[in-house]
Amino acid sequence: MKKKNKRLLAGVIGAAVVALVLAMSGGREEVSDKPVVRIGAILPLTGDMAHTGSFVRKGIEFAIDDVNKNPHNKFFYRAVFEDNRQEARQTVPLANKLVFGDRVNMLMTFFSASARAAEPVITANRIIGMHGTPVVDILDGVYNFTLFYQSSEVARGASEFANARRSKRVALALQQSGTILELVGDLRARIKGETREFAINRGERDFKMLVRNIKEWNPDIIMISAGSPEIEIFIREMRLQGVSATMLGLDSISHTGNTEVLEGFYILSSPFGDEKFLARFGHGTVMTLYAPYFYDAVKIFADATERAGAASGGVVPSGAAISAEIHKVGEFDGILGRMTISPRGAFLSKMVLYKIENGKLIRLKE
Amino acid sequence: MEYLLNLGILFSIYGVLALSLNMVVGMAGLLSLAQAAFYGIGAYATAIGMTELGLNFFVSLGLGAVINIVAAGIVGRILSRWKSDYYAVVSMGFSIIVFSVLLNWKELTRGPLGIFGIPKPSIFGYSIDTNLGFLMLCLFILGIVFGIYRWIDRSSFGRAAKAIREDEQLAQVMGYPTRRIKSILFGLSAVVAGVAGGLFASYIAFIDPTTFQVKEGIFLFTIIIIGGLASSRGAVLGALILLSLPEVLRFIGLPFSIAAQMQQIIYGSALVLMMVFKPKGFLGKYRM
Repeated sequence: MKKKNKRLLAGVIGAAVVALVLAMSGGREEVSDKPVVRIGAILPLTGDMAHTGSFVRKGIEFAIDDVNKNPHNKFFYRAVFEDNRQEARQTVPLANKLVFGDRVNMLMTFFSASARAAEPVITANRIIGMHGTPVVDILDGVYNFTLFYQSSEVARGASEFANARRSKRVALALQQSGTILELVGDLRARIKGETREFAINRGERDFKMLVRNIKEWNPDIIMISAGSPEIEIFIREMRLQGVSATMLGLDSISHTGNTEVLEGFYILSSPFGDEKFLARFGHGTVMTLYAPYFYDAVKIFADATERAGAASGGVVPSGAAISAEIHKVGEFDGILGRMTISPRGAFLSKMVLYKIENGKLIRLKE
Repeated sequence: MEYLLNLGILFSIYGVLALSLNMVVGMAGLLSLAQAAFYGIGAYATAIGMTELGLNFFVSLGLGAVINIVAAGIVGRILSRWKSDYYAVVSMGFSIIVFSVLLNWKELTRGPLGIFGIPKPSIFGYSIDTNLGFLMLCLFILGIVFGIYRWIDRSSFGRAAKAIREDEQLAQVMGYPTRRIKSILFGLSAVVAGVAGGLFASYIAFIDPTTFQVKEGIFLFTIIIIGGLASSRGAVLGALILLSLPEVLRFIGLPFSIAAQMQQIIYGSALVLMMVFKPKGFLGKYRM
């Protein structure tokens, strides 16, 4: 490349970056005289899972906005977000950065891999960890909490759905993940009819063969768990190939707003958030379930910190003191309805069966 | 400080990985995308050895080395017939196979659940459970690998490898056993990548197959191209640049709402500029 062209290219890239930074750098951190409680969050803000991570970030931001509006609070709450692109490699240094650099009092992670990578850092430094995962073996009853319904509850609800319909063949079309693997064994044991697994690979776009295989096996129920956009493409292909089996989504709808494609689809899920909360997202009526879980978790954490802070004379309380206050909560009414915090530290909601009719989510039963 | 120690550990591990890749790409000009696979095999061997078999960290590393030698022996023999783009495609295929095995051999690897609770190493009863101690271990291993690389680079074997890189046919005519040299280099680089995998598994304490995908191999490729092909110092420098640049960008005060995206844009732009102004990389000795 000629020297002149190199300079030109460098100039263009440099100018574009500077312009983008200037154009987008409108936000300023709020300041407060109160002692600051910092909440760190390691989320996939770029990459394949960015859409889900950005919903979660909004959930946390909404909660912090709401908490800071309370004039009676002794502390001011501030979030520090870091992007790990859903890579375990990024998670451990980021957890250390947030704990030792930003001095966060709570660290939130998303998905099993991030939770497992961050958990030792959280436990060693005795701060609160809230993890968007159903993996319960990271729970220690003190510092670590999980924010998602448990696989056993999904297995119970889904098997009831199949057994009540006297299903003879249940196809399990599932995207491979730690969460799903936790679920599958339990699900197969509980379903009375024959089951067969069909793998939906992340990033796959052509489901012709997969759907043909499912159709040939002729199941009466197809249980699906996949992210967006795979789920929409997969279901559209099933419609095109005339698959008439009953379809049950296991949390899949949480990733998509495209209810038209999913007409007639059953969904087994935590309750969707109340209308007021959903409206704040500006994405219609559907968004990831994780956002309300994280919203509730931040509010519960802040309430617990305020209570523990009352006893500590206005000093930001220790992780153990905050944890004790969180464990005292037991049950609360959250965005997803009645929630329970188990003695081990799992935030649990009830499971609800929905159906999509005329593009709308109809709540059938708990 | 702890954060910097953690970055130092990652830098050391990726320095080892970059050196391992530079052994095949830089020295012999072989476009290998198999490094992520050997990295993964080493990580899983260490994890399974320590958590399931109760082996010591260093014995587990040895186990990973043995498995990698066997795997590299088989794959390297097939690969030694080719160079350039054929080599890249076949080695990428091997990476995909290994990823699929790690993902689907659930009885051994726990599949997507991954393996957690991987302990830190211990030497003579002394557990290296602090970040500083672990960094020292990683730097020590990086130093050893760096030394081995330099030693090979300056040896007659290294000169033969470079001859293959420049003109394989000519090297054959001159009597060099080119296929054997390529296989040995491939095996050696697999062992070194496996050691890096073992360090990574023990450091993170949790591994799952997603870390060892083909894209990780491409990231390693980027490291040695930016740092400089066929240069030991270049490989280490490349690891330092590519791992530290995104971390530096975390501190430039971008607003939260766009920070992650902007970091990616700036990072990508920096890579473009580096390649425009330094097409051989910073310390590169040859251009692909």
